[in-house]
Amino acid sequence: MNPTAVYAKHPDYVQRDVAGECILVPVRRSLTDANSIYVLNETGAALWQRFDGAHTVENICTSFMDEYDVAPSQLHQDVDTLLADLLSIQAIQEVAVAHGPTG
Amino acid sequence: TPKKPYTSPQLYRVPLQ
Repeated sequence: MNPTAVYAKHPDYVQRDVAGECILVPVRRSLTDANSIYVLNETGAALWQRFDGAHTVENICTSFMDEYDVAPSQLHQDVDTLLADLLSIQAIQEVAVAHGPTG
Repeated sequence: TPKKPYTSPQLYRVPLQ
């Protein structure tokens, strides 16, 4: 996991909250890709909401630990796994962050 | 504020509609 990476939700997915569950539905894709929907549990949805294209993974983990009772090592491992899962279905994408001049 | 209980994040695939 790259702690300085920034991820944003992919526009090909829409999120719907149904019966207390966060559901990701692929849209604008070929039907072969659209034959599944994806469900996130409560912590998965809370992390998904934070992939806003502005905050780094490290920022997200820090704010998440303020809210949830979790050890840093456990959270980093879980975020790493979730990122891999979301990237594999192209639900998120890494965004380039412009760095200002350092001089 | 007490912290919320933590469970590992999970992504489930639901094949389909």
